[in-house]
Amino acid sequence: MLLNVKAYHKPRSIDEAFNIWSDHKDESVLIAGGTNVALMKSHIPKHLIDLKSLGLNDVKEKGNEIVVGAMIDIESFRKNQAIRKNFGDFFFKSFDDIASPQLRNMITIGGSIAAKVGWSDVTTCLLATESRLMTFGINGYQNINITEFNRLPRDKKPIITHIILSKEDFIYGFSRFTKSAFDISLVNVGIALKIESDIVKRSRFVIGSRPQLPDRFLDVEEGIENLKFDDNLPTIARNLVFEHFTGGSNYLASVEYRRHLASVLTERILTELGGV
Amino acid sequence: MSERKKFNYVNKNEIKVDGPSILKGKPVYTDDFDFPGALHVVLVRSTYPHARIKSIDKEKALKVPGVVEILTYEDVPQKIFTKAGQGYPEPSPYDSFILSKKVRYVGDPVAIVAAETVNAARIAASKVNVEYEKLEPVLDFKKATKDGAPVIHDEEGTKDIYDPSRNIASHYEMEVGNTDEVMEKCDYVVEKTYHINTQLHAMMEPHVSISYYDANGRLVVITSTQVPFHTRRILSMIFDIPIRKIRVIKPRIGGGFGGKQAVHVEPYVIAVTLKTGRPARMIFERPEVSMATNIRHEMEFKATVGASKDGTIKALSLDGLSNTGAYGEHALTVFMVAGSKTLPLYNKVEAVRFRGDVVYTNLPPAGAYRGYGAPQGLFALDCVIDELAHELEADPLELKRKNAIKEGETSPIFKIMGEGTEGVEQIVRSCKLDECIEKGKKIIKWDEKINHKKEPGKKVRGVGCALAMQGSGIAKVDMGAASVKVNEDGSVNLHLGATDLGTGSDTIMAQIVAETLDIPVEKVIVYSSDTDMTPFDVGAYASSTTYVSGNAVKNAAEKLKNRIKEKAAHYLNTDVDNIEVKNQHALNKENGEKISFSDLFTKLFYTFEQEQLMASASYVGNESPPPYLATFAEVEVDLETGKVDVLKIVSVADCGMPINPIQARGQLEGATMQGLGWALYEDVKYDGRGRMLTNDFFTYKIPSRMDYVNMECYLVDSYEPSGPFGAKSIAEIGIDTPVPAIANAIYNATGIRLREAPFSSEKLLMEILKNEI
Amino acid sequence: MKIKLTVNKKAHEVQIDPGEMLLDVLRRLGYKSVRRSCDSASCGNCTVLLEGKPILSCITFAASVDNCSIETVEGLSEKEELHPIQEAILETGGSQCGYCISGLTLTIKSFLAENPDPDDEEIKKALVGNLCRCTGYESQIKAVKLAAKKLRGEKR
Repeated sequence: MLLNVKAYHKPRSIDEAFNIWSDHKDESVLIAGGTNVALMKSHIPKHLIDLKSLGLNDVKEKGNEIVVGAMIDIESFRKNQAIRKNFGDFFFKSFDDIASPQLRNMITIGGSIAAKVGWSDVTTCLLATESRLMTFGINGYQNINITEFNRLPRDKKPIITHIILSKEDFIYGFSRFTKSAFDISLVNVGIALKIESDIVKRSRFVIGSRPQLPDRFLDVEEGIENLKFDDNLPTIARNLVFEHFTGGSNYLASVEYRRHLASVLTERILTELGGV
Repeated sequence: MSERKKFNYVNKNEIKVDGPSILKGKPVYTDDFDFPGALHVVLVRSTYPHARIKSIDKEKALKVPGVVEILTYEDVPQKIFTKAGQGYPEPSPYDSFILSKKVRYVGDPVAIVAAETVNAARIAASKVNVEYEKLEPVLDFKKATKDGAPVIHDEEGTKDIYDPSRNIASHYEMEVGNTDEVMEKCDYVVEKTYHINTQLHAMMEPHVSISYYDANGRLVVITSTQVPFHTRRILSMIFDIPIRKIRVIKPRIGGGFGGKQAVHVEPYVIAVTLKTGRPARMIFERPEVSMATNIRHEMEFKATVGASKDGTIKALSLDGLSNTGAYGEHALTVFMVAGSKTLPLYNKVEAVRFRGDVVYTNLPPAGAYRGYGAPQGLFALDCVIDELAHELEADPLELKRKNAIKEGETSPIFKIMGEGTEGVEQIVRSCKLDECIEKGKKIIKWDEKINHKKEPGKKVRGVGCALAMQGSGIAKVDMGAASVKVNEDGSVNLHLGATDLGTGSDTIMAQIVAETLDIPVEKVIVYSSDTDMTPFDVGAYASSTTYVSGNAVKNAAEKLKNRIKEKAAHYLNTDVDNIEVKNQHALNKENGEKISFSDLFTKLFYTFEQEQLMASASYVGNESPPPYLATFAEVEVDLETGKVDVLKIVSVADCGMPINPIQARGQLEGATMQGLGWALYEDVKYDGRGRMLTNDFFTYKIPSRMDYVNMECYLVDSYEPSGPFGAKSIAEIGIDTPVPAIANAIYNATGIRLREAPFSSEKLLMEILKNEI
Repeated sequence: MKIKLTVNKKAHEVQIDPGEMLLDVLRRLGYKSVRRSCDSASCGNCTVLLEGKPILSCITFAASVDNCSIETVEGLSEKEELHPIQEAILETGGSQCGYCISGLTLTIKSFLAENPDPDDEEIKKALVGNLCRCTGYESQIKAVKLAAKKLRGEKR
C-alpha cells in the first residue's frame, strides 16, 4: 500500500499526463488498471497519475492494422469482435485463463507491458503477434516495439498510448503451465507460424515467465525455418527449445524444470496447431 | 439403529442461526466495529532469524505526525509464558515473552507502535531503528540438535523445555510390548522414512483484536480467537491483572483451523491500552498472518511395520522428529497426537512404539492446526502399510481394513497417550469404518481400478485409499458448560462458552436445546464466547465442541425440562410423572389438559410460584470417541510435466449421528479440500535467511475452485451412545487422509512412491524421468 | 480530495486521501460487508460490482471511481428479506465462517445475470477468483445452481 500519496491526478490529455509525470519524475506513478501500483508497498510515490481518464480504450481497424487503446481491460480486449475476426481464438482463449474475472476486468494491456513483470501472459502473446507500441514521450508520439520499450531507462520512458497489431497471415498458439488454476504462469509459450504450401516460412517463438521477461528465441525460429509443417515438426521444435532455452530458478521452479516444460508446451502447441 | 428415533430438530439441516446476518453483510466481525479515537497498532518485526537486540532507536519514528506511543521490551512485563490456548497448567513449554530481548525468527515482534492512523503507524514502524547482534540461526530441523548448534532458548526462567541446550523443546516415548523382538519374527518388515512439510492455515479473516477500558475500568478485549477463556487467563497472568478485571469477547470470526488457538494479537493492543488509557486495535496484514502467528509442525517419521504373510500386522513403530519453530506452543501435544490418534487404528498388533523429539528452529513458530499431528503421523503410518500391501501383493484397502479397529474393541494406547500426559482407557462404542469403506470403494470403483493395466500414453491414472480416526475432545480434561433460561414467549436463552468459528456450533447447540424441549430452533437464542456472560468452555479445538460442549448443552436443557415439568405439574394439579413436554406445551398425559410454554413462563414471571426457570450444566468427557474416515482418491498424472490432477476424491465418515448433516458434511468437505491443498498446491518456502517467501495468497496457493474435478463426501449412519443424540466429532478428521490417499494413488498410477509431501509436479517429474516411465 | 460515489443507488460525497483504496472508503462509509483479507488481489473477498462488473476493491483507488456506481451486498437485501442468491447459499450450507461470502455473492450475481443456466465447469471458472477455505467449494456450486433455478422462477 502506498502510504504517502499527496495527489491523484486525472489528466485530460496525454500531454498533460506526460507533463505531470515529468514534473514529479521520482515521486510519481502512472496508473492504468491500477493492479500493479496498488500492490506496491512504499511511501515514496506522492503523485498518482490516472491514465484511464484519457479514455484510450477502444479498438479501431485502420487498414492493415488494428489500433488498440492501451487502457483497454483484457476482458474487453479478448471479446472484441475485430480482434476475434483477425486472431481467431488466440487472444480469446489465451486471455481467458489469466487470473480471474475480477482481475480481467481491471488488468489493462498497456499496464501489463509497462509493469515489466516476467510472468505476464499478455506480453508473451503480444510478442508472438509482433505487436508494436504507440507511445508518447519527450519526442511526442513514437512507434516502437516492446523490446525497445523495455530497454529504455526510467527517465527516458514514454507513456504507452496504443498497441498496434498487424493483420497478418499467421496462425497462433499459446500455452502456460501453472501450479494452481488461479496462479501466475510458471512458464508460458507463445508461437506464431506463417505457413505457405505446408512449409514454415517464418515463425516466432516466445517464452515467458522464465522467470525473466518473455523473449523471442531466434535459434528455434531459425531451426525450423523452411521445414515441413508435418507430424515431425512438434518434436523438432521441442528439442530446439530444450537446447536453446535460457532462464532461471526461483521459488516456483528450477531452471531445469522450466526448460523441460517449455519444450513440452512447445510440442503440444504445435501438435494442436497441426491438427487444425 | 434401535437408539435412533424420529427427531424434530436434530439430524436436520437447520439454517445457521448466524447465517442471515452474515449473508446480508452485517458488521459482525471484529474489524467491523468502529471505535472512534482508537489507536492503531502496528508491530516492528525482526528481519533476522536469530539475533540479540542491542538497541532500539525510536527517535525518528516518534517524530512521525500522529504517533502516540512506541513500546519495547523495556516497557512491557517480562513474564514468561506459553502462547498456547490450552487448559491450565498448559502442557507446552513456557518460553515466550510479550516482547523479548532476543529475536528468534524473521517476523518476531520487536516493538509496538501506536498512532492515530494506520498509515502513520506503518510509516513510524519503518523508521524505528533496531541494532542487532546477529547470531547463527538453525534453519533445518534435522540440524537443531547437532553438536555446536546455536542455542535458541538460552534465557532464564523457561519451564518445561526438555533440553534447551540441544534445542529439544519436548521429547516423548512409549512402547507396548517389545517391538524389536516382534519385528524380528515377522515374515515381512517394511521400514521407510516419510517427511511432510509445514502448512499455512490461510483462514480468510486475518488475526485482529481491539482492547479498551469500559466505564468501570475493566479491560475488554474483542478478538478473533478460538479460545476466549484461555486468553483471559493468559492475559491476566502476563500483565498481572486479576481475571475479574478482564473480559474477552469473541464475535463472529472468519475461520481459524487452529491458527487462532493461541494468543497472537491481544497482548500488543492491551499493552497500548494499559499505557495510554485509550482503545487500541490491530489487524494483521496477510504476510504477518502467514509468517508471524503459527504454522503447522513439519515432521519426519521413520515408520516400520512388521507383518506375517497372511497380512496380519504384528508390530508398528513410528520414530519421529517435529519442527516446532522458534517457540514451543503445542510442541509436545501435537507430536503425541501423531501417534495417539493414528496407531490405535491398527489395534491388533502385539507391539507398538512411538517416540521422538520436538526441536526448536529459527523459523516461524508451529502451533495447533486441524488434525493436530494426526495427519503427519498418518502420512507415515498409512503409506508404510500401503507399501507393505504391495510387498505382499495384497489389496491395500483390504489389508488396512482387516487390521483396523472394530466396534467393541480397544487399544492400550488410549490409556497411555493423552494430552501431554497419560490418557484414558476406552472401548470403541461406535465404529462404522467398514460401512465407510464399502460406500467409498463403490463410488470410486475401487475393485475395477486398483489392478488396472497400465495403458500407453502421456497421462496415467491410479487410485489410492487411506483410513483414519481422530477423537472427540480430550477425555477427563476438556470441559464445556452451558446455561439456559426461559422467557415469556416460550423462548429460551442459551448461553455457552463454546466457540463458533464458522463451524456452526451456535446452530447445532440451538438444535440440541430445541430437540430436548421440543420447541422450534428459532425460539432458542444463542449467545456464546463472552467470558462475562457465558459459562466456561475450553474453546474450539480437539474436535470437542459437538461432543463435550454439546453434552453440556443437552444436560442443561434436560435439567430445564425437569424444572418445567415440575412447575407444570403444580399448575395442572397433577403428579410430575404425568407431565409430558410436547410441541411447546406441557400436558397432562392422563386427561390431556395442557398449558403452553408462553403461558406457563409468563405466569412464572408474574403471578404463579414466581421463579426464573433456568438451569446449567458442565460436562467433561470420560472418553473421547473417535470418528472414522475412509478416503479414496483417483488421480491423473501427466507423465511429461509431473502435474497431478485429482479426478475424484471421496471421503466417507462415521461421525455418529450428525446434529446438522449439511454443516457436518461441510466440515468434511472443507477439511478434505484443505488436505488436498496440502498434498498438491500448498508449498511453504523460505529464503536462505529463514524468511518465509510464500507469505501471501499470491505466492501460497490454497486450492481454487478449478483445482479439482470431483469431490464427494458422505456421512454413514451411526450412533455414539455417549454423545449428545448420538453425535461424535467431524471437524478435524477430514484433513488426515488426503495426503496419504493421494500418495498411494500416485504410486498406483506411476509406480513411483513419493515420501516427501507436498508432492510438487517438479519433484514427481524428476522421479518419472529417473524411472524412465 | 472529494469524490462522489453512488453505492447501492445511494449518493455519497466523501472526503478521501488521494491514495486511499475503494475498500477502505466503502468500509468508512459503513459498508462493512466489503472485507479485507489478502492485500494481494488474490482472494476475491473484497469484490464489489462496479457498473455491474465484479472488481477487487482492495486494489482499486477510490479516486479512480469518482462518479461511478458501486454495488455491495448491503444493497441486495434492503428490506431485510434475503435475495434468492443469499437464500440459496444458506440452504446448501455454502457459508461457514462467512468471510468470503459478500464477495462471492456479488460475483455470483453478475455471473448469473450473464449466464442464467450454467453448468458446474462454468460456475467454477466464473468464481475462480473467489477463494474459500472453509467449504471445499461443493456446497457453493450447489448454491449457484439453486440460485439460478430460483432466479429463473423454477423454485421459490
